[in-house]
Amino acid sequence: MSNEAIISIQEVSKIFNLKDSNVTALDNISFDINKGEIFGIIGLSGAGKSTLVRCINLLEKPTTGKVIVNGQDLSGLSEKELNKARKNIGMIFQHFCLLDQRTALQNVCFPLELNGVSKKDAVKRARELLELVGLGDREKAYPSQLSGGMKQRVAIARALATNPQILLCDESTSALDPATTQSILALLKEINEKLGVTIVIITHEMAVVEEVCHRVAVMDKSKVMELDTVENVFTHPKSKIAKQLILPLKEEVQRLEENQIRIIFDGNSAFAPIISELSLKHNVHLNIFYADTKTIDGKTYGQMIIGLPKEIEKQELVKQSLKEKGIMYWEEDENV
Amino acid sequence: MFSNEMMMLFLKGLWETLYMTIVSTALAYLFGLPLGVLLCVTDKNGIKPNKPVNIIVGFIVNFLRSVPFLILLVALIPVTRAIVGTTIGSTAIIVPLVIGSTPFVARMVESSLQEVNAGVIEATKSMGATNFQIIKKVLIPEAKPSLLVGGAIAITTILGYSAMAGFVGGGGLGAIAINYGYYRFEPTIMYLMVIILAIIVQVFQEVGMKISKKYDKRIKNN
Repeated sequence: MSNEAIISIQEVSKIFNLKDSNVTALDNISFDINKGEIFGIIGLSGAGKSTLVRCINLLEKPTTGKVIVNGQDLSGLSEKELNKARKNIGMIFQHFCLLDQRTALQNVCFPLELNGVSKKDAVKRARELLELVGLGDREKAYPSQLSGGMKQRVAIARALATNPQILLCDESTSALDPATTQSILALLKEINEKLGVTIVIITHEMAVVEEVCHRVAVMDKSKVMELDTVENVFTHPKSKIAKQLILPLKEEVQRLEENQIRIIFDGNSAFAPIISELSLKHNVHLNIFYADTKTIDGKTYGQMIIGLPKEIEKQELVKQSLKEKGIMYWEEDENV
Repeated sequence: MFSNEMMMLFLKGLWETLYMTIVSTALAYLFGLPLGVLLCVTDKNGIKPNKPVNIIVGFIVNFLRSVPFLILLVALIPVTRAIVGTTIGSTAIIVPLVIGSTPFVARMVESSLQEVNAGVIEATKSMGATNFQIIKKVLIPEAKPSLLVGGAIAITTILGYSAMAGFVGGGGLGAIAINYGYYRFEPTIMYLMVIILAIIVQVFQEVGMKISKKYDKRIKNN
C-alpha cells in the first residue's frame, strides 16, 4: 500500500433529471483512493454509493467534477479512449451478471475476446484465473449449474482477465449467505495481496468493511459524511450515520435505564476484565445490555452498552475509572 | 380424387408452399433482424438511445403491420412487377410476403433482445466493449433461445400469409384450397389442404421450440 492516489474523485456531483424533479445522487464528493488499498464505501440503500462507484468507470457520467484514474481524467475522454481505460478497471456486481449462454471458461475469456486476444491465449489465461479463484474443475459449467458463490468467483476471474489495476465491487456479497460472503472476501483479500490490485468495495454491511477494508468512506444523503481508517471509524465514529451503521439498531437494545453508556474497547483493552474490575472496585452493579467484539485487521475491538447505578456519585466514579484506563465511552442518549 | 394427377398437384403445392415460406422467412430475417436491433438499440433504455430514429423506424414498422395482408398483396403488385418482372407465381409472392412480415419480425427481434438482462449489458460496458461488440457478442447470443422461439412463430405466421397467395395468382397449398374449395366447390380438397397446412405449422413450431430449448443454457439439464 502506498499513499499514491490511483483514483481521485474531485468535486463530483451527479444529478438525475427525472420527469418532474431533479434527484441529486451525489453531492460534491471529493476523495482519493490509494494504490493497493482495499477501500470501502458504506451507506444505506439510496445513499448514492452505487452511483459513485459507477462514476469511477464512467458507467454514469458525473454531472460536474472530475474522476481521475491513474492520472487520466476519464470524464474528458472520447468513447474509444474510455473503452481502453475501462480495461484497466474490473468490476463485479451483486447479481454476478455472467453471460448465461456461455460456460464459466467462455465467460472468463469474454473480456479477452473483446480485446482481440487470440482464442488460444485467452483460454490459457482464463484457465489460470479459474484456478486462482478455485474453480479449475468447473470450466465447462454454465452459470445455471453454479451456486451463487461460484458465480461470483467466475465473475471475479472475468473481471481480472485483462489484468486491471483496479477492481470495483458493487454489493458483491449482498446476494450471498454469510459463509460464502466470508470466502469471497477472503478471495478479494488474497487478490489484493497477491496481485496488488486496488479494490473498491461498495456495501451496506459494516461486517464486510471490518473484514477486509483498510479505509472506509461512510455515505449518507448523497454525501461522504466520514472517511478514515476502518479502526478509527469503528472506534471513534463521528457522524450519526457511521454510528448507526456500526452500532446495533436502537430497537435491538432494551432501554430500561436512563443511565446507559456505551464503552468502546480497542485492541489493547478488549481482553481486560473491565466490568468485573469496575464492579469490585466501586462495589456497584453494572447491567450489560449489549456486547459485541469484532476483529479488524488482526486487532480485536469491542463495544458494550452497560447500565450504571442510579446514584450520581457512583456513576461519576465509574466514568472516572474508565477515563483513567483510557477507555472511550459515551452516554447513549446524546449520540443515537 | 387421388389420381396421379392430383398427387402431382399436391406435391407441387407442398413444394411451392415450403419454398415461399422458407425463402420469405429468410429474407424477412435478413431485413427484420437489423431493424429489430436498431429498434432495441435506439430505445430510450437501449445502449445508444436515439429518439428520432426510434420514432421514425417504429412508425414505419407499425404502419406496415397495420395494413391487412390481403390488401398489401394487391397494393404491392406494382412493386412486385418492378422487382421480379411478373406478379404471378410463387417467386412473385415472396415480395409482398417479405414486406408484410419484415416489420413483424423486427418487433419480435426487438422484444427478444429487450429480454437480455440490463446488468449483463452494463457489465460488458464496464469491460470497455463497443456498442457493436455488445450487439454481436451479448445481445444476440444471449437472446438466442428467445430469437429461435420468435423464428418458429414467424415461420408459421408467414406460412399462413402464403396461403392467401392463391387469391392473387400465387401458388402453393393455399392456392389449391382456394381454387378447388372456393371456386370449384370441392370442399374435400380444401379440408385436406387445411389439414396439411396445419401439420406443417405443427412441425415448424415443435422443431423451433425443440431447437430453442436445446440451445438454452439457462436450463439446468442441458
